[in-house]
Amino acid sequence: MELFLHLAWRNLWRNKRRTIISTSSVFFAVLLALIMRSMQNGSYDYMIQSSVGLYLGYIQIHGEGYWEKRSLDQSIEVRSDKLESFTLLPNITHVVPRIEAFALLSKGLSTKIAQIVGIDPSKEDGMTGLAKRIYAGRYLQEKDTGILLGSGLAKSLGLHCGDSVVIYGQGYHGVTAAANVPVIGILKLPIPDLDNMMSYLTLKHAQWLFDATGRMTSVAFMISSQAELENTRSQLKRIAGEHMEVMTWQEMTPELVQSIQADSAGGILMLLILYIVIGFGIFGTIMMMTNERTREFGVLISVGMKRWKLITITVMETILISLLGACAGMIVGIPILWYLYLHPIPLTGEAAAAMYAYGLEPILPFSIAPGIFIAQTMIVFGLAVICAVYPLLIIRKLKPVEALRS
Amino acid sequence: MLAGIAWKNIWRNKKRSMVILTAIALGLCGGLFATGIMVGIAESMVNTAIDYNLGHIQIHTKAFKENSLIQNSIPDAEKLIEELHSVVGLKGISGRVKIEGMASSPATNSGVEIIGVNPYAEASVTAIAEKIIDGKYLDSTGKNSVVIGKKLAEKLNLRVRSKLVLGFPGRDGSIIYGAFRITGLFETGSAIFDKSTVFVDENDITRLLGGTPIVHEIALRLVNGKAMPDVLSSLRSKYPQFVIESWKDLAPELKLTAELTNVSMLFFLAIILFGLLFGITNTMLMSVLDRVREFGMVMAIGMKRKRVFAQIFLETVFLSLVGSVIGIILGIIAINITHHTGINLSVFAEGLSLYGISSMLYPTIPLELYYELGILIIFTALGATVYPGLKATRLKPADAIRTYV
Repeated sequence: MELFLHLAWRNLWRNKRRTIISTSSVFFAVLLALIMRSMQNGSYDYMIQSSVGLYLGYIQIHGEGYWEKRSLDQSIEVRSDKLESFTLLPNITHVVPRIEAFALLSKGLSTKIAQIVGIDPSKEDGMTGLAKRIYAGRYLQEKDTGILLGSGLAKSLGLHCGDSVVIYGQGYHGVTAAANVPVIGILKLPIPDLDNMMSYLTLKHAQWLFDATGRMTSVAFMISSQAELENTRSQLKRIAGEHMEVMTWQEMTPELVQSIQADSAGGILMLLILYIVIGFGIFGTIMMMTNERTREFGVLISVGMKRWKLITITVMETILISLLGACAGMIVGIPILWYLYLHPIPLTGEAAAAMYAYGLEPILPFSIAPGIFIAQTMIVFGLAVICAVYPLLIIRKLKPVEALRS
Repeated sequence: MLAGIAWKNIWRNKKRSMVILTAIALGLCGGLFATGIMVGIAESMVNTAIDYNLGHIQIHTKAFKENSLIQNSIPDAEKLIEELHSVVGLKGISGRVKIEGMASSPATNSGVEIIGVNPYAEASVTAIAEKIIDGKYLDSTGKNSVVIGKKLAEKLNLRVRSKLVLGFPGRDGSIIYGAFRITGLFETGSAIFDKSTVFVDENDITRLLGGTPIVHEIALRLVNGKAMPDVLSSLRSKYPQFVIESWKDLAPELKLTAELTNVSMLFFLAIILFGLLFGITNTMLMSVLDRVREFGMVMAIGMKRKRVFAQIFLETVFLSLVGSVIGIILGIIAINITHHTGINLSVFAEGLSLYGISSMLYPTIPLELYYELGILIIFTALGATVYPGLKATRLKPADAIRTYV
């Protein structure tokens, strides 16, 4: 076997031009597949990050049945020492308690429906960067009894900082919740639906308003590593105790998961097309190599070389070529993708303007998840090895007499 | 003559040419098809929005656009609607009362947009009536009937014939409550719309509000969407006192998606063409290196280097063009077939509905893309010529003739 490998290796360098051409076709194939997949995965990560990090969090704890009903009646009591114990878990970076409910906001003759969210100002800001969104007035402080409004909401109610607004809705166990509160800040939220709907009180104030002292509807968590998501979930489940639901972002927004899957299906279709293109490129070079060597094969067979030995050597050659190309592609690909990951391609023109209007940075992000490198390199390597079937078939059917005369 | 030689040269090694031709043809056919799917998705989003909600053109008062208060209604709306019936190419017209309010069930409550319509007029503009999946559409016989989205019904834990309480601000700002009976549930394919919209009969709203009927929004549907810009500008000049907008103005998020689709489509085609570029370069390089002796010979007997380069260029172009033509024809066939039969994407229905995409997909490609693609292909061929061409023109005839491969 070692002899075969030795022969195959020498064959490769006997005709450098041929080897370099084939290796380069595998090399470019790996490079293109890497760039394509990295771009696709990068945009999914971006989608998840921007929708999950903006409000939802990667994991949330609620009372049993809350996520379906969204009623204050499913709110939970979580003592502050328990909240503290969540922060001690290894993967968790932020723990954000909230109480959420719909209510009507009115000023004068205008009334609007709004989502009232009671927040811990500093924790909320730590996770979602809410304080950065303030464009008039100031952000909430611990003891405040004022309200922050999305700018769309404020505009449609004709409200400015310092005005007061009436909140009217339903509290815990159906009690009437009503209050007259001053507007202390106006937020510019990136997504129009949120901007037209969200309003924030401090957690304490909202609990008082909804007559739900010490209660909250949800606790949202940010984590440092998505790979540890399930682990963290089960840890949280253990601490949280009975009658609580611990949900991951995938469970909370199955629509987002599906739309990523749908998009990913489209991405895989494109990847397949790319594989076809590069597969044929590799096949073309290997076919040429084989055809050029028909005479050589004829000579070897007619002097008594066993066909299976010849086949083993040529297959080894193909594998070596593919290995060289794939490794080179990966070695060159890693720094390129690393660079693109750190410096995403900025978009310009209308697409950038449209993204910016949505509060998204107008970039084309890339991913450097190790899985991409392994999967793409393996696939292209596999494609190249499949192409090795061609010389195998040729040698099996080769008629030495004809081959010698070609 | 050069062209003739180039053409014959391609077919000297049939196998090699066929492999690269297949690569080009499959790459372009696949590329076109995938692009068709992406464009189809973007169109589907636009159509969903037009069909179920926006219509082609909407008219509001300036005050209502600023602040959607109940009193900012269109004055003399009935007369205006009467006049608008004369618009050429009109398919339907619907005057709507639009109020934001709260829908409550014993289980929970949810913020909604209450749309009061004349059921018959609305059915001529939007296709809600056709998207009733349970129960039936609004009819004028029952009092206080309402149709709501299936998603909203699930959230409120209600079904057909359940009672639903709608609360909304009245003319003086006080909250009015009305009990409505659900006659039907709709599912449009847009999750956000289904979760936040309820349709009621305008007469019921008028009765609850008291006073004369009001209209906040007039939605027009045209027989042919392409006529929209003309109708829009004529309406704008005729009724300068109103804000008259097309669906493009009303739904900027559709624009975002369309733009992003264009960007990713371009990147995708660029990567495919890059793949082809390397494939073609490799093929031509092999072809040149196989013929080193031949090139040495023709140069020795006086062929200009420029003409050698031109010959290789022509070979590359022919090879690329033949492959492209086959690929584009195959792509057009694939798109045309699936455009008629549709592709069923119901596996992803829920995720797609978040973005207002229906689960049947009809791929389509704008005509100008073919020109753009054609130009890109020529550039690809040009790029693929450079290295093999230079390699050939740099040969030294004396050495080349003595090269045995």
